[in-house]
Amino acid sequence: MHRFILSKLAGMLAVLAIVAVLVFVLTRAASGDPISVLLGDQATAADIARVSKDYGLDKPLPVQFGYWLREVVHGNLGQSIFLQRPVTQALWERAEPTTLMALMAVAIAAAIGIPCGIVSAVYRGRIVDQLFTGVAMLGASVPSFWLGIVLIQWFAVSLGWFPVSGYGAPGASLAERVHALMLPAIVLGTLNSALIIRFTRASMLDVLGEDYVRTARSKGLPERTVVLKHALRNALVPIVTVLGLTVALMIGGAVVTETVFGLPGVGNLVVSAVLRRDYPVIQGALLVIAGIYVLINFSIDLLYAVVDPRVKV
Amino acid sequence: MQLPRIVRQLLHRRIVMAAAVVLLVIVVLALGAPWLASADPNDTAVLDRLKGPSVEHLMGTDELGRDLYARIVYGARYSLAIAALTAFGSVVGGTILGLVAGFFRRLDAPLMRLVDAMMSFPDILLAIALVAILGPSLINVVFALVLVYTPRVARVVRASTLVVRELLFVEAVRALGVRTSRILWRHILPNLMSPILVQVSFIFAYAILAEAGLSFLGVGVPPEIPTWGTMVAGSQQYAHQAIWVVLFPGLAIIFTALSLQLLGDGVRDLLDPKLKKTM
Amino acid sequence: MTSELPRLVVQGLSTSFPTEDGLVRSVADVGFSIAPGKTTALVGESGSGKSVTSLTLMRLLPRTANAQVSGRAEFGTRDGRRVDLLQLPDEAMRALRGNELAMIFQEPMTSLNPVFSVGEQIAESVRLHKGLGRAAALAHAKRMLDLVEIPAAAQRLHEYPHQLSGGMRQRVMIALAMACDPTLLIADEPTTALDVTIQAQILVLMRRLQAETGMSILFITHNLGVVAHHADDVVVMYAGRVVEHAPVRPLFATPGHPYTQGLLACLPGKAHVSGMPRPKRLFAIRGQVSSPLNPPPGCAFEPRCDQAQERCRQAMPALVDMTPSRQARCVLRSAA
Repeated sequence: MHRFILSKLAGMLAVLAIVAVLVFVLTRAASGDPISVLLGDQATAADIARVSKDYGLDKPLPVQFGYWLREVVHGNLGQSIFLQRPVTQALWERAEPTTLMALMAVAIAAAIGIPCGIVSAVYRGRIVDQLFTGVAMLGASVPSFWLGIVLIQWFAVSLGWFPVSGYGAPGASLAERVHALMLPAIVLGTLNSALIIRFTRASMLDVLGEDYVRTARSKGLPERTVVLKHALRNALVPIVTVLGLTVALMIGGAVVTETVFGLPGVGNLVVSAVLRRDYPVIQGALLVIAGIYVLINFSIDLLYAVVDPRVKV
Repeated sequence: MQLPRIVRQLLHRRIVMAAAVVLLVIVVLALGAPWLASADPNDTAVLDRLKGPSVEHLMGTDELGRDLYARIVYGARYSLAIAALTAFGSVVGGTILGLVAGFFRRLDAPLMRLVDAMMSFPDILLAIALVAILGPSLINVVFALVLVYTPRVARVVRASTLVVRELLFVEAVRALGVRTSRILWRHILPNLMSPILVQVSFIFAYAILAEAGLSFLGVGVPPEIPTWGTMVAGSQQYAHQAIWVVLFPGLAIIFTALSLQLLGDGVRDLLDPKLKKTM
Repeated sequence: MTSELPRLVVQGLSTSFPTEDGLVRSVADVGFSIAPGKTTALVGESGSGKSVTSLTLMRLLPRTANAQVSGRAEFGTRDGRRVDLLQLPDEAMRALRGNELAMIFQEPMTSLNPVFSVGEQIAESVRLHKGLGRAAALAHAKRMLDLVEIPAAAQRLHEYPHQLSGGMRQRVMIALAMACDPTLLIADEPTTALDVTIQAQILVLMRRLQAETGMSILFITHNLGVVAHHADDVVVMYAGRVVEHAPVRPLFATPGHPYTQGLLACLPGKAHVSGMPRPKRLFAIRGQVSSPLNPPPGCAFEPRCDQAQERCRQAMPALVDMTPSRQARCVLRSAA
C-alpha cells in the first residue's frame, strides 16, 4: 500500500515538474523575461539590473528556472500588472465564485448523470437508453456560451427568475450568491452530465454482466435490489473517478461561463489577463490551475486504492 | 450480390446514417457557398438590420443587416476548415507520439508524463495561453488546438499500440529480423486505423466547439474572419432583441458537432465491439 | 413407496436467439422429467444447449438476448400445486427462485458478490424467502455453512469471497442454494472449475444433502465419469436436442444412440473390453458440431456418425421409445 502511494506521489511530482517547465517556457516565449514579469511594469532599469543579479539572470537558463521555481514554491507568483496586487491575492479573491459554481455544477451533473446512466444501462437497447445516450451526446455538442446566452434570454431577461449577470451585491448572503450562480451552474452541470451518463452507463453495463449479478437474480431478489444494491456498489469506483474528473473539467468550463455571466471568478480573471497581456496573472493562474488538476487526479488514484479492497494487498 | 457486412451494418443504423447525411449537407453547403448561399455575406444593409427570419432572409439578418443564412454558410467554410486542419494535425502528431510511446518501452514513461502534464491544463486555458503567445490568427488557432489535442490522440494510440505489439504476429515479424520502422509502418499502423479514424471524428467535433469558444472570448480567430464563434461574439449584445443572431450560429455548431460524434460513435461500434462499452 | 408425481416435467422446450446472422436455435424440443429425490444428469458437449436449458427453466436468460421460448415446464411446488415455470408471472417466479427452485453455477470464483460478506449473502436469501430478522437469518446462514462442512463457520460468516478458495466458494454457493430448503436444485457444471480432489468432495456433499433433504437435482455436466457415480437418470443432448434418455445403468451398459456410444467409447476405461488386448489409441468422435445457424435438414449427428444411412440425411429422426423407460432419437432404434 505504501509503495503504491509513493509511486503515485513520485509520478505526481514528475508531472508537476514538467508543468512548471512548460509554464516557464510559455511565459518566457510570450513576454521574454520572467523576472521582469515577476517584478512588474513599474520596475526601473536599475531595479531590473539589481534583481537580475540577485536572481542570476546572467546565469544559464536552467539556473534561472531554478530561481523562478524557488520563488513559485514560496508562494511568490509575482505582481499583477493591471490589478496592482500580488497574483496570489488576485487568485484568492476570485476563488470563491468559481469554487462555489463548480461544486454546484458537479452536484447538478451527478444528480442528472448517475440516475440516467443507471436507467440507460438497465434498459439497454430500448428507447429510454437511446434517448439518454442521444441526450448525452447532445450535451457534448452544445457550446456552453451559446447555452448560457440562450438561457439568460429565456430565464433571466424574459422570465426574470434569475439575475442576468453578476454574483450578487457585495455583502450578499450565501443564499443570494447561490441564486445568482444557479443559471451558470445549470449550464455547466447539464452539459457535463453527458460524460457522467456515459461513464455510469458503461460501468453499470460491465457490472450487470457479471456472474454475481446472475447469482443475485437466481436468489429471487427483486430487480431493483439487484441493480441498486448488488450492481451499483460494484460500479461505484469508475463513477467516482469520473466525478473527480468532472470537478477538474469544471475549472476549464468556468472560463467561458464566467465570461458569459459576468462572474468575478478565476476564469474571468484569466481571460481578461490574456486580453491585457497581464503575464504574471496568466502564469500564476496556469500554475495554480494545472496544479489543482494534478492534485485532483492524484486523489482519484488514491481513492481507487481505498475503495477497492482487492488493491489493498 | 451482398454488400460487405460492414456496409450492411452501417446502413442498418439509421441514426448514424442520418448524421452522415447531415454532415454531407453541411460540407456541400460550405464548399458550394458562392453558388448556394442566397446573398453576399458581407452585404451590409443597415435599414434591414436585426430582421427576423423571413422568406427573403431565411435566418434573419444581423446587426449590420447582413443575411444570417449566407454568413452561416460562408462561416461554415472557416469553422470546418479550422476544425479539419486541427483534426488532421493532432491525429498525425498524436499517432506519432503514441506509436513511439507504445512501441519503445523505454520512451513510454517519459513521453506519457509529458502527455499527462499537457493534459493537466484545461483545454480552453491551454489554447488561450498558446494563442496569447502566438498572436491571434487562423493558423495560430489551428496550431494551438493541435497542441491541445495531440496528447489526447497520443493516449488512445499508445493504448492500442500496446495491445497490437503483444500480438503474436509482431513477435514473428521481429524474429524474421524486419527493421523496426518497417514494422511500425507496415504492420502496427494499419491495425491502429480504426481507433485513429474514430479519433479524427471526435477531435473534429471538439475543435469546432473549441474554436467557437475561443473566438467567442475574443482570443481566437480575429473578428473579421466570419467563423460561427466570431458571429456569436459579435452579435452577442443584440441577443435580447434578436435571439436568432445567436441562435442559428449555435445551432450550426450543435448540428455539426453532434453529427460528427454520432458518426464517430457509429464507426467505433462497428469496427471494434470491445470498445463499445467505454467512452 | 407411493408413486409421486415427478418434481419437474419438461415438454417441448425450445429456446432461440435472434442474432445479426440469423436465428440460433440453442434448444429445440427438449423434454425430460425428474422424480422427487432423484438426480437427472443433462449431458452434452459445449454448445449442446444444456446450460441454456437450465437458464431457460430458471428464467435467468438476459433480457437483452431477446430469447424466444416455447414449451412447458411443469413444476410441483411444496404446497402441492403444479405450475408451468415458463408461464408464471415474474413475481411468482421470483418467489420460487432461491426458495424452492435453486441453482448453482459453474464459476465459483466470480459467482459471489465481492463487496458483501459471505454470511450476508446467504442471510439475504433467508430474509427474503423465510421472513426472518437479521440476527435469525445470520444464525441460519451459519448453520448452512456448517451443513456444507466449512470449518470455523462462525468466523467465515463475516469474511469476503476473495478470502476463500475456489472449493470453499462453491460450498458457499451450495449453502446459499440450500438455505431455503429447495425441492429442486439445478447444478450447472458445479465441479468443472475445481481441482479433481475438491470435485469429489463437492459431489459427495451434494449426494449427502440430497439424501438428507429429499431434493431433486438436475445435474448438468459433460463429464460422464461423474454421471456414472452420481446420477439416476441421464439425458444426452446434442446440438440442442435430446438424443437419448435412459436410467444410468442401462445407458452405460447398452447406449442406444451412436453419439452416446461414441461418448462412452471416449472414456479410456470403457474402450477396453475385457479379454481383448488393450487398444493402443484413444477414441475420438470424428468431425465437429455443425454451426447452429444453418443446421442440416436431417439428423444433426449424421455427418459424424459411422452408422449413418441415407434416410438419416433426409429428416430429423423422432425420439422413439426403446423400452418404457428409455428413448433415443435414432432411426436405428425405431425399427422396434
